Amino acid sequence: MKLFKKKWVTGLLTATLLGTTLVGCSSPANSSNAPKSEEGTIKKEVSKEEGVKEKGKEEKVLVWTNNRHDAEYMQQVVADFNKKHEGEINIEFVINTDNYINLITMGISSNQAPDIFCTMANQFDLKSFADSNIIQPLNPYITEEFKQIYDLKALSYEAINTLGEDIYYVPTAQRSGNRLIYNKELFQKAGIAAPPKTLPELVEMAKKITEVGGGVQYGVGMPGQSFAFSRLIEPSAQVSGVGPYDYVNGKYDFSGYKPFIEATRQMFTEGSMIPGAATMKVDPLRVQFSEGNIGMYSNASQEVGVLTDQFPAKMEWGVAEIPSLDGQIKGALSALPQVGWAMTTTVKNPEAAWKVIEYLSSLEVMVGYVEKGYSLPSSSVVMEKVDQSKISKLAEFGKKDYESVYPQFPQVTPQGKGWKDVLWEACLPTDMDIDKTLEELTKSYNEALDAEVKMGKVKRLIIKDYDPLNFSNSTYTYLNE
Amino acid sequence: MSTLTSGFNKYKSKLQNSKGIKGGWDIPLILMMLPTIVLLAVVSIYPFMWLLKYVFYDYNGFKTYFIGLDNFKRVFTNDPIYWKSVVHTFEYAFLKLLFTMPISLMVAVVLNHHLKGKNLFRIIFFIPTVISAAVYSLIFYFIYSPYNGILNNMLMEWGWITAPIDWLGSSAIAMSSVVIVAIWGGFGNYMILFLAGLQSISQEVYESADIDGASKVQSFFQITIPMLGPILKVVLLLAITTALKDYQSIMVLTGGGPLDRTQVMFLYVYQLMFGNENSAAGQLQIGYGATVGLVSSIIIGIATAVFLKLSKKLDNIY
Amino acid sequence: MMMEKLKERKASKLIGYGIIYTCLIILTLFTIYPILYVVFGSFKTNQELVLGGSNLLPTQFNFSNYIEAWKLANFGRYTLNSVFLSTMVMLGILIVSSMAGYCMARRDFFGKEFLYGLLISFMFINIGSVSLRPLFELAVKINLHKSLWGVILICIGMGQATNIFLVRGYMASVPKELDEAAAIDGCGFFQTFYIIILPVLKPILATVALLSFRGAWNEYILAQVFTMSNPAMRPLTAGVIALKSTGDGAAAWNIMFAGSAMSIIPILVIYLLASKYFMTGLTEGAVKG
Repeated sequence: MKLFKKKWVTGLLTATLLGTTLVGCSSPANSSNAPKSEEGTIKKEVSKEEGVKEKGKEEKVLVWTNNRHDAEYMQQVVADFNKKHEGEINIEFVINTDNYINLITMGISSNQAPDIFCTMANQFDLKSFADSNIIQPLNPYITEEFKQIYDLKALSYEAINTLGEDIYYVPTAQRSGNRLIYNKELFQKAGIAAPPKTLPELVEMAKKITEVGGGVQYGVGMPGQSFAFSRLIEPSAQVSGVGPYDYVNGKYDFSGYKPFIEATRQMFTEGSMIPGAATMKVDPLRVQFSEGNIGMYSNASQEVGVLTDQFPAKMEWGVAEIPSLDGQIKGALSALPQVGWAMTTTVKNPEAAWKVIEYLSSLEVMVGYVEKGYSLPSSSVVMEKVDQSKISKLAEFGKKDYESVYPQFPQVTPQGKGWKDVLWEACLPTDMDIDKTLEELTKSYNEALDAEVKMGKVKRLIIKDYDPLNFSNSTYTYLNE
Repeated sequence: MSTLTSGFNKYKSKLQNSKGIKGGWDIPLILMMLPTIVLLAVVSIYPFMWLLKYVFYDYNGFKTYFIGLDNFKRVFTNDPIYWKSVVHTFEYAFLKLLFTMPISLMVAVVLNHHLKGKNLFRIIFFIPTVISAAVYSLIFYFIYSPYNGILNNMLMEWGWITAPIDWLGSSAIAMSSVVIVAIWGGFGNYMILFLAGLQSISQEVYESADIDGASKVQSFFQITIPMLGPILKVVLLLAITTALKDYQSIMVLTGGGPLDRTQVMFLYVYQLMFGNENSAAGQLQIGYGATVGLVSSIIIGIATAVFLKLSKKLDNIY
Repeated sequence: MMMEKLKERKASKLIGYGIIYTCLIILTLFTIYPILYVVFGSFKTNQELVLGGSNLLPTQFNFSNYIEAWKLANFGRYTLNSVFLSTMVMLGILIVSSMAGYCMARRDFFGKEFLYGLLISFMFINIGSVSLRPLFELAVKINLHKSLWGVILICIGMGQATNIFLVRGYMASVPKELDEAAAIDGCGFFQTFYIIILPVLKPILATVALLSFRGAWNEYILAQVFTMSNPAMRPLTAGVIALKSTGDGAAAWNIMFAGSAMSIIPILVIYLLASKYFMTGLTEGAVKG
């Protein structure tokens, strides 16, 4: 019994000791005096005038990112900056991957948010973030010099990075639209000369490849557990002029998806789809492709890095345009802006923070970023400076003239599953009635849209002169009914 | 045999005659209960109340919109997925307990005896419980892989199956596959609890039973089970609560699929509140998630009450 | 006669052991297979690991995975953080649950059943990660949001119900005479608990210690939020889980496997230390006095 007691005492002592050593070195607490509204959001904080740089004092700029794949390069770039600006500005570069957006909002409410953070299209709802005073417009800081690299007019996407005149982040990189990625050797083996131009051709080719594959190689792959619908089916619908939202009438309409769902279901029932696709995550799919077991799959420019460094492809692979329903391109292919640096409202020194954004978006940093193959640049000025020989494969993903950023239609939450989940499930080989499913989906989304517009949660977007191939000259009308 | 029963009865009556020492709150009692009460209030009740107010709202994490009883209307009239998930939750919990409880009890009893290598076995059976669910579920995800997966390949090499099985993608077997992972990850846990419970049984009882010529099986049913009574009840209740709340591993393995076949209550709540990591991130539905969570808690509460009632009856039998 | 009977018993005993060992070995294979899969998988290249196939063993042992995992997950530092966090949670839960469990088993007081009901109810209500937000906001108010102490208190609070439950259940099998004898000897309520009951509770407390230590060891979302401005304070699990997210490219599954394999070791050591107490129960003589 004595022994028992003694052990606990030593345990306690060790623990306390450990505690003091570990906790003792945590950084001193900043006073958290951010006023808070009931929902834990910050009321407008006038911090722009405050904290003007004191001479001779090093300013710390806290930068967050959730990208780990470019970490090595970014850390090098940050170290260069810190060395050059010693005594003036010091970047603290933190990678937070899990719960990223949650962490930012919580950081704001506890006054420990980053000064600037890396973001991309659709990572958070811009309007909510702006309304809750999490981020601030960059307009007052943007210099002429910056505008010469980044064409702000072309890079402003309403409700994605811009609200009216206010621009909240300037994307430095652009993910390409999706492409069809195919195994050249399997195409040869199946006697197929060129990648498919139409969806029925794709279905046909997938079948042929599977037939000569001898139960090892399959025609096509889609990762059922990682955004399956968005990889091949949705882009193919896009270029065929089919989308979930009827911009002209300002309501949802899913009826156009039927042929795409039927084609996918056909590939399942004909066995052209790699077994297990329904529960596959994207990485196993990539590996099976790199091993030469899959004829075709679809993804955007990030696959270059994956198929050359992470899962080096063991055969020659090609990149082709996403096939449309009938070979005609009737709609734009969605290509999303990436790697933008947003400034929070709790920034300590906005001038210093802007300098950091400017540096991270500069030619110096971005050219290297693109040459490393992390992404395509959003700026043609950057692209011109890039050594093309270093990005040969990436160049195959280069911008097509029918690629664009779609106008952000109102995002509503219907009673039931999200539309991409429903549509993907309709693709699976079951006896689910496609017409009925699409009809119900349209109905539930429009009910939700009506309800949420009424509540004032969202606004109905109507584009009377909607052109599915070109959005830059459209007139946006937002309705409260 | 008769000495054994009488000896045991004597021991048992000792336990039963001991009612709690009556009395109100006094200083030592207050001091000893205070941390529990404070922690309960702060860590459990407060967040629950915080959440509860949103059952009348549409809340996406930033803004609230008062919608009255719409959330309840939706749960009860227009949410077939949820009610499917309720059935699946009980199916999952039942299957999980059906296997984990007997396995862990047997293993604990066996490893409580002087057996060669028992320490090694104890360590091995414990290892799964120290691997976080997020990681071990991924391991099984790879093992189960229908295309070129190690399990399918092995079974085919042995000639047990002729074609690969889609362990997680087929509606018919996805639930079983998920339950196997749950058994793997869970039985070590309950083994530990049972081992601890077994320590409260005096070795002398077994010795006297042995002298009386009782077989191991006999002493298991006539000594171990009754003597474990209180702790058995506790472990069972714990196991039920855990099983009904499990969702992490299912989230990694199937994400609730195929076609909601493995969707369970709290995975559904999680997806409403935090979004579905496998598909497009829609708006969060915290208000509705809170409502579903509340309804689920009530359902589980009823299940517990039934269990407690039944276990009281069990007490009377022994 | 006697000899034959003994022989018969011996034979049946042998058969019994045979059955027991067969079952144990089957169970061991079932348990160990995924573990071997991680351990061997952690030496594979990412491609080989994700590819599958029927080889458990890697074609080539890549020790570099471990070096990388060690570096990326900040292993040395994070392990210390984890040990600190888990030890504190364990101690907290031991203190809280042994006291409350004892009180609830041995005393009748006003509101006991209600309190007990609340405790049980909250075992069922899983708002786990949902409670993150209100708790964090509360921690900000009392300035506990920048260290692991907030995490420790929350972990104790969340883990207490189960453990109180366990202690109370175990107390039910501890004979009342122990308390009574202590009372006759002139011990107060707390003294009885401290001097007489605690040692008797050893086996269950060892279990509680182990389970609460492990629970805290696996906790990472809370810790990640509370250390967002101070990543050096993060626990190991957060580091290991983060290994799987890589942003735009593919995940480094092999590195995560290596990290996981390493992160099992410290807690297994703890288990070995704690399991000593499982062997020694009431038999040690607590019943006899």
